Amino acid sequence: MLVRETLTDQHARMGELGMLLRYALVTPEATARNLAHWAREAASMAGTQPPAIGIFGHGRQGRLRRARLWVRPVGGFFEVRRDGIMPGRLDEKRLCQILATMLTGAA
Amino acid sequence: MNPIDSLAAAAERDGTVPLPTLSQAELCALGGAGKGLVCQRTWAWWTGLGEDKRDNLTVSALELLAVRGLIRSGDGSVPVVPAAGLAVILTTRLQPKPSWYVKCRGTTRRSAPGSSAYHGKVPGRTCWSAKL
Repeated sequence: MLVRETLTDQHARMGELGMLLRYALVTPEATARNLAHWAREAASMAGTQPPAIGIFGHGRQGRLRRARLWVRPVGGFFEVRRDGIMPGRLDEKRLCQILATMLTGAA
Repeated sequence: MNPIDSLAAAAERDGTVPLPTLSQAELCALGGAGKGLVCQRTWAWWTGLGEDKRDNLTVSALELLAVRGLIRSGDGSVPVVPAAGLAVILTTRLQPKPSWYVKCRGTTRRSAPGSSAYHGKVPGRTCWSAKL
């Protein structure tokens, strides 16, 4: 289970308290769907680089790990490039499975 | 079922459960911004305010949190006890085990989750008290 924190561009009602941070408790699976949706939206903007998703994690042994994916939607699929792994074409379901697995630390 | 377990169960069922919205000052007043996983923009804003301003805002922020029912006075061992939703936020921000930070890079509209971070994992037994 993850806590999603989003720094918005909305001021708090008392403006001097800064901007608003929105929070939600989300499952890794819902997070993965959210990231896939974001990748589609980001890629739809003209002239963008392939959307990149960086996952930085401290495992249970405290070792810092980082994984990066570049995700380019192509039709109903995603071209996915990942550090150290050959590029591949995945459907959204498979992409979400991979992201969810990474986020649960099983990868 | 305690309130935190209820939140976790609802998230398992629905995928997402909203937690309380906080201002940057409220998060900083609770000690949640500069430890664990740092939000650079929030921390830079807070530390750039100056000590007097920070002290004043800390008082305002804690009063507002109390009015919203998100904190109540502690029993002496801790000064403040957060409500369940706030406890989840603070626990995952301060003691993420394991911790995950997801950074998205790309052109997005303001409402897109490009500025979102995903923190930590709610442990099986979440601590209820936040030490300030």
